[in-house]
Amino acid sequence: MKIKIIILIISIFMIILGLIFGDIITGILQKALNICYECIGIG
Amino acid sequence: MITKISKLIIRLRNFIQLLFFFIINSDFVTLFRSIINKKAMISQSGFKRFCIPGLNCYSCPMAVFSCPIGSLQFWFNDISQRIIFSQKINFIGFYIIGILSSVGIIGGRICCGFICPFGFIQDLINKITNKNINIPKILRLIKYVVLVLFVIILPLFIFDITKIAPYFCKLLCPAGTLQAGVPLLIIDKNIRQMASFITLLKFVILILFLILFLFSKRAFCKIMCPLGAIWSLFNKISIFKLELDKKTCIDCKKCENNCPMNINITNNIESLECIRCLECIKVCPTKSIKSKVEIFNKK
Repeated sequence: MKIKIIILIISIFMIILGLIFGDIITGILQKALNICYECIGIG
Repeated sequence: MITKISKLIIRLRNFIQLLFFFIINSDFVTLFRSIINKKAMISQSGFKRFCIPGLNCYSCPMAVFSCPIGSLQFWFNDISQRIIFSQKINFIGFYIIGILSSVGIIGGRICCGFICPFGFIQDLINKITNKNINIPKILRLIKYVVLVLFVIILPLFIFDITKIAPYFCKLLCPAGTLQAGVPLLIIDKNIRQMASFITLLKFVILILFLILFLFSKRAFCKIMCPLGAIWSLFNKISIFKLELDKKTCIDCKKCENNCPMNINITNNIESLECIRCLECIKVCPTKSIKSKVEIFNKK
């Protein structure tokens, strides 16, 4: 069974797909640079 | 060679955890500036583009990387909003899911044992008593409910258009309360004034877990961690795994007594609960438990 290799290849493909077609700035960075008031419990 | 490396890794586990804790939370300058100015500030590190394989709140003043669970909830929120406003979906979620699944298929829950900063905090607190009460199986299932309900369904389907709604961070996450809530509430008077019933709820959850950490190792990992729930699904099929030689095992139960997750190792070494901390290998007198790298499954 090559299920591990298939999952690993799909995972790497998803990372590449996300990085090429996704917007990391608005998707992750901008949110992480602002204080998450929800995380503190006041949002 | 692999045996020698794994022996060294097992011996240095706490040091590796400490190292990752400080790498992931290394922006001391922001913390000092925040304390001096009495104003809540968090790290503006560009590394926050990257999700770390562990639970570490990115609103902690010192955190230089992003939390994958926080990022995932924001992405689910974002999908809902973009569908409502007929906008193009941001594919960055595939990057987050890809990171989680690649880490999972390589080592299962190994990052819980070696990298997760909140796991390290739990280990440190438990060293005070070194007790390890077993948590009933039914309570251990809560983490899967938390994953499905608070991380996926609620952020995806129930949200206020004017607000973001990462429900796990907002209502449950004790890592966020401890790493972001405590320092920022102490530092900034304005944030203290905004405290509400939800703040109280989050602090009650945090205190309950802090007490639980004293009596049960990795209590949060056992009961509530959605990240652990995701990686546990890969434990049985991961490339790195543990193996028990039943021919040499003398059934002394030293491994089970030393297991932070209270796993019945002799019967189920590939348990979904295993965080791959390798403590069982360390105490086995007959060296019957071994770590192995298995790319292709044996028939």
